[in-house]
Amino acid sequence: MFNLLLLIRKDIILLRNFIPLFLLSILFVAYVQLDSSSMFATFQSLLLLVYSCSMDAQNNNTKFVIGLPVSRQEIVLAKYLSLIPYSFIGLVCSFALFLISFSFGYSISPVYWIGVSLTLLMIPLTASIYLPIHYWLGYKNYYFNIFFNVVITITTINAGSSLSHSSVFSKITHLKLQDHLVQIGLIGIFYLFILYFSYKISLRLFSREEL
Amino acid sequence: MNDVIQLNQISKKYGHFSLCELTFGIKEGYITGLIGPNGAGKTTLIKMMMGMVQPDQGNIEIFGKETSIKNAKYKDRIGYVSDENYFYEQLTIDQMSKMIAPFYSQWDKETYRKYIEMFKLSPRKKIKELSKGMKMKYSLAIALSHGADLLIMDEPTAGLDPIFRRELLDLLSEHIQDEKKSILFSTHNTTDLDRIADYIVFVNEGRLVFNEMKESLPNKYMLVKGNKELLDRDVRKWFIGLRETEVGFEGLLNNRSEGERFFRDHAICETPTLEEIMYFTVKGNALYV
Repeated sequence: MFNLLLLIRKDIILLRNFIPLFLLSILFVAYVQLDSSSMFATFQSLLLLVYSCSMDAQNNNTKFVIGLPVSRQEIVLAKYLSLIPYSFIGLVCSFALFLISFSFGYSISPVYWIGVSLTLLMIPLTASIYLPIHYWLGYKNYYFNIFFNVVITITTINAGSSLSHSSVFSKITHLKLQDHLVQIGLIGIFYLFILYFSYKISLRLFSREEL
Repeated sequence: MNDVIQLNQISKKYGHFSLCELTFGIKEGYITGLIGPNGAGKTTLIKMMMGMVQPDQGNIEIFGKETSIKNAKYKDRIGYVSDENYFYEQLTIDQMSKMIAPFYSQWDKETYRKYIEMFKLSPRKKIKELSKGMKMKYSLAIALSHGADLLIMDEPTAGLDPIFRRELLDLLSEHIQDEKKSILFSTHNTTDLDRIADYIVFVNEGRLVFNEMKESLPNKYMLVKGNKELLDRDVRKWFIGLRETEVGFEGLLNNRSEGERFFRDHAICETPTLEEIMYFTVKGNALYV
């Protein structure tokens, strides 16, 4: 457990230099759509995960991590768990954007925080696609990361303008939870299964990797 | 005398290269040099010990316990110096050390500071600004700062200037004074080993040539220099390595007592250096100059 915290700490130390760039990208999203759709800005926190993975892939730094007294299982698990602090950072940014929007006189939709919550749920789901690919590609991950960064930014911007006005989103936000407990429970189990499955694939790929 | 590292029937295949059922032990309390030409399998063996590469067959025991991909606790007691450094280039020495220190239960801040000063490393300098030699020094400072019982070093003297190289060898000799600590290091430079090694493990083409106490090598190996008339088909077979010129030959024998009996009165018999043992063993009988 302690090693997991140290590995997350390691990634956060590495992210220090990236944080100003990350905040700029959040501001960029906010500038493009400074209205209720900025609730999807939280999604940008995935950039932190992608950057930390890039740092490990760059110059083969995974070899350094493997030299430390940490198992491969801990290394992979820490990457998944690092989504918690990254999502928190994204959440703080969303809250800041909410305040900025409010102070500029924009009317904030009542579903703003539902949108933020859904975006928070989307972060581990997207990471569960990204991380197995990251471990599959190993140190050749560089170009894939550039591609993935672009995808995240475009998705964040487009999600704001299209998803917030879509009927599906409207249905979700107006859903009465107590009427759909079974469906929600099943979706929850499926959601957790995807995360677990993704972790297992990542672990398998990383365990086989020869450094 | 315990083995701090024990390799049992280790095999690994990579395309044309393979390690073939290697079995040997590294003695506790001694400095062991791992020698062999490029591509002999030295780095692969070290990577296996560090869990970076998995053997196809066999197992490795370190500190008496079998290593596995799931268990990395044993690395807490190992100081590892890689042939190339994989520190995060954008960080300063200070930031990098603060990142590494908590991973080791026995990290000693004072020892670390002592080595940083001794190696003249500036804590505020970024890793990317360091020369190859300085990076190696930093890597050594890290490896020596957490009370490691075992130092595993892959070509640690590569890229170092001769003065620091000598200082490092003295430092390593000092490090094992308590007879509980052990050092394994691979090198191409056999003069380093002549100076400090107690045991020599020689691998060539993925096979173990020998694992011997350095002091016992002169009793076993002999370099013979003589006229070509001495060489007939049977005599040639005695040599594990032979270098012929138009006028004479130099050959390496691995049975000194028998060799001395035959050649003592007809040729010059010398004790070979480690480099000569390595050279003749690798080249075999196919040398003609």
